[in-house]
Amino acid sequence: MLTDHDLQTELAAAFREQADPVSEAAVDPAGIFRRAMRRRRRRRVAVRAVSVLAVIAVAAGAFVVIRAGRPALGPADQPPGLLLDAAVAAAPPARAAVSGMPRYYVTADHVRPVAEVHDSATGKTLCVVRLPGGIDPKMSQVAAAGNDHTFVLALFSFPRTRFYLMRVAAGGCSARLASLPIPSLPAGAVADALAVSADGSRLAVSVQFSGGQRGAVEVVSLATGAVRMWTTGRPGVPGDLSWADSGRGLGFFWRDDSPGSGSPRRSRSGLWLLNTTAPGSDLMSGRRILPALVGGDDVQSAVLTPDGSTVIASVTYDGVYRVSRGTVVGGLVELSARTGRPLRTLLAQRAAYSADPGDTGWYITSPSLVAADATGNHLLVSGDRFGRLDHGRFTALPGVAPQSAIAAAW
Amino acid sequence: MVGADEAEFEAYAARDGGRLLGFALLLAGDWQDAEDLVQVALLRSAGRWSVARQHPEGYTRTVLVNLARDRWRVRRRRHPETLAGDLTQLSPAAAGDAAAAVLDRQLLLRACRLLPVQQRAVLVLRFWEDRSVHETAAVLGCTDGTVKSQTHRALARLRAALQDAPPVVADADLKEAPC
Repeated sequence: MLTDHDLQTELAAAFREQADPVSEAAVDPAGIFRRAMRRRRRRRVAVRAVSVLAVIAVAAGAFVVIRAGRPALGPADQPPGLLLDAAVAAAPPARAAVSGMPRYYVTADHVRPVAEVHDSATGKTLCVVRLPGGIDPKMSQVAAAGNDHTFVLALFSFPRTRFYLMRVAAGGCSARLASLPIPSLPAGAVADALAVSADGSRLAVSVQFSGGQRGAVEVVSLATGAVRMWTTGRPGVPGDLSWADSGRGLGFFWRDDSPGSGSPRRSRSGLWLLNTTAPGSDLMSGRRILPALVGGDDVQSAVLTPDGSTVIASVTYDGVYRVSRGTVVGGLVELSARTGRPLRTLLAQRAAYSADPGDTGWYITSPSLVAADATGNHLLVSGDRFGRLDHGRFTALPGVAPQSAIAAAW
Repeated sequence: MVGADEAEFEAYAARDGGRLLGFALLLAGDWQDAEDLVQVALLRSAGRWSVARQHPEGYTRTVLVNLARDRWRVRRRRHPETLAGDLTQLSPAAAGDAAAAVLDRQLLLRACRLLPVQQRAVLVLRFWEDRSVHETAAVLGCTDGTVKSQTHRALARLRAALQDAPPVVADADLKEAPC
C-alpha cells in the first residue's frame, strides 16, 4: 500500500519526467501583446465609430474569440457575467408589446445625404428627405422630440455642425426640413449624440472636439438658442444622452479610451447623471450610476429611462469563465438606477461557434441600442439583425445590414 | 506607456512561458492542446495586463485552468472515458523489468488525466511547481481547506487507480468540484 508521501514522490517524479523538458523550452512572446492590444483597439474603435453615428445609444458589438476544441453539445442557459445574470425576459404577446409604439422612426443614411421616414410596424420606407449638400453623411445624428412627428438632426458640413428640424406630415408620406435658429457647434466639433427633452424645449448635445479624446455636453434652448455647456479636463467623450427626472437630469455615457485611462475598473467610464438645474459647469459634478465594467461584463452603452428609475444597458461578457453554445454572452439588460442591480435581460445574445479554418472560436457579440422612444419601452436595436424591441419582444425590421452602425430615432 | 507594458509582458512571458507550457501539458496531457492553452492564456493576460501585471503567474494560471476546464467539459460530453482499457495495457504487475518505474509513472500520469481539472491543477501546482497549500489556493482562487481536500481526494483516487483491479471512473466522480 503506497503512503501519501510515496505517492507524492512518485507523482512529482512523473510530473518532472514529462514536464521539465518542456518547461525549459522558450515561449516566444513576441507579437502576443500587440495582438491582444489590436483586439482591444478594434473593439474600442468599433465602439467609437458606432457611438459617433448613433443617436441615443449605439454600442459596437464586441468581438471576442475564445478558442476551444469544439462546441459544447447542449445549451448552457446560465450566463457567465454579473449583469447578464438577470433572467431573460419573457416576450409579451405581439399586440400587447406594440401598444404605445411610435408610428414612425427616422434613419439618417451614412452613405447618401438623405434621411428616411419608416413605418414602425413594417420598417417600410415612407419617404426620403434630401439633406443639405456638402454634408458628411457619416456624421449625421438624429433625435426624436417624442411627439411622433418632430425630429432634430445634427449635420456636419466642414467645419461646422448645424442643427435642423424635420417635421413629418400625417401619414409619414412627406417631411420638411428647416434650419434651427440655434448656434452651430465650435469649428471642428461634431455631435456624438442628441436628445430632445420630454417637453420639447431643450436639445442636449454630446460634443466631441476636434482631435478626439475631449468632449463636453451642451444644452440648448430651442426657443431662444441660449447655450449652457458642461466640460471637464479629463480625457474622454460623453455619448448616449438621455433625459430623466422631468428634464432636470441628463444621463450620459462617459467613455475614456485614452492610453492613460488604465483599466476600465479604475477609469471613470460609465453612465453618469448630471443635474442640469445645479450651478456650475463641471461635467463630472454628478454621480456615476453604472461603471463600464461590472464583474466580467463590459457595459458598451447605457441610457436612463425617462422616469430615471431604470437603466437600459448594452452589455458584453468579457470574462474568462466558461462559454459554450447557448451561453448568454451579450444583451440588453434593464438595471435598477438606484442599486445598479440587473432586473431582467431584454434581449439575449448567445454564444455561437465558428469552425471556419483559421478563425475558429466562440463569437461573442452584443446587440447595440440604437434608440429608445419617449417611454423607454420601445427600442431600436442593431445586432445580428436590426429591429425593434417592444417590452422585450424583438421584431426584425428590413433595410439595415446586421451589426450596422446607424443613426435612428423614434 | 504601451511600449513599457509590452516590454514588461514580454519579460514575464519569456521568464514564465516554459513553466506555463509544462503546467498546461500536465493539465491537458497533450502537447498541441498545451500550446493552444498557453497561447490563449497569454493572449488573455496581455489583453488585461493592467490587472494581470499585479500577479501575472497566478492570473495566467487561473485563466489556463479555466480554459482547461472548459475543454474538459466539452470532451467529457463527447467521449465518456474510463480507466479500464489503459490500465489493463499498462498494468504494473506485467512490467517486471527496468521499465517498470517508467510504466508506473505513465500509469500515474494517465490516471491523473482522468481526474477533474481542478484536482489535476492542485496536484500540478503542489507537486510540480512546489507551491504551498496557501500559494495554490491563491492561484486557484479558493481556500486553503479546498486545496487540502482536493489533494486528499485526488491522491485517494490515484491510489485506487494503482491497485490491482483497475477501477472504472464512475460518472458521478467526473463532476467538477467547485473551488
